[in-house]
Amino acid sequence: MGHSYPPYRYEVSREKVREYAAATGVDGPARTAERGEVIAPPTFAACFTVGRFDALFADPELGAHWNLVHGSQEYVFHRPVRVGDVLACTPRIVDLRARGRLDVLTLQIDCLDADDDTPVVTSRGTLIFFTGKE
Amino acid sequence: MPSWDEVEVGQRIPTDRETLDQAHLIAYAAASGDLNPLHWDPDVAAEVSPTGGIIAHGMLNMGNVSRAVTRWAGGPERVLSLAATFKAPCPVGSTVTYGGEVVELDEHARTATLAVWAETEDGAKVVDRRSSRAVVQLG
Repeated sequence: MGHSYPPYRYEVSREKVREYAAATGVDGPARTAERGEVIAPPTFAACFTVGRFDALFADPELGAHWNLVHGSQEYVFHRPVRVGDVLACTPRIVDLRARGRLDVLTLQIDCLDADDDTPVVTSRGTLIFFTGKE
Repeated sequence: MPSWDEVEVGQRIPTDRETLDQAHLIAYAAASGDLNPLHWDPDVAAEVSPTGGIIAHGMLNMGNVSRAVTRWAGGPERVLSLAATFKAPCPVGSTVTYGGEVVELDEHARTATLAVWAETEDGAKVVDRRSSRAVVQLG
């Protein structure tokens, strides 16, 4: 509980936003009229949160396995994610409980603007692991 | 973008419908970095999938819910939060309907809370509206 993983950085690139938008059927990243900034679709956050789950759990302590299911996901957007952002992301386990043959883990990832440490996205996901235990 | 005066509790956003074939799942895996073979390898899926077959990424369905909400909201900067519970597995090839309904309004913050969902033609609640929400800033 409260276990933290090493922080990582993620740089939001225009091509990655374009690729994500195409894969989820979005016509193209939004551009704000005021400042000409390109804003990512909200769930682009998956690329720097859920997309890291496999790497995070390739952990000898917890065992590397594919037999996990994503139970739920929540994002709070403190501000939109923009092309050019460099995000400093810190994952930590905030809850872990056994439910019969399953372990349910809640992983929070705080994503801050690496330039000024202001919050950008808070991600909270639950992962269900099949332990095989009775 | 919907203005405060136009939005009422009970109002529904325009629904989207999409068939999630294997090519969608592969494109999503590459775009998002979620390379779990549960979403593309039938042998792995036979071992670990709750259905015994390939299932779509929960996050692909959440992304498609988000697309419907973002379109209604008038832009990604209007979407303040999103929460999705992936209740039922979504087999590859499913045709999924994405929707949302205003369930709460906050006059002070000028926000609308929507219950959101994704459902297959068989009625499987792949994103369950009872515990899936979006909060949108109104104009």
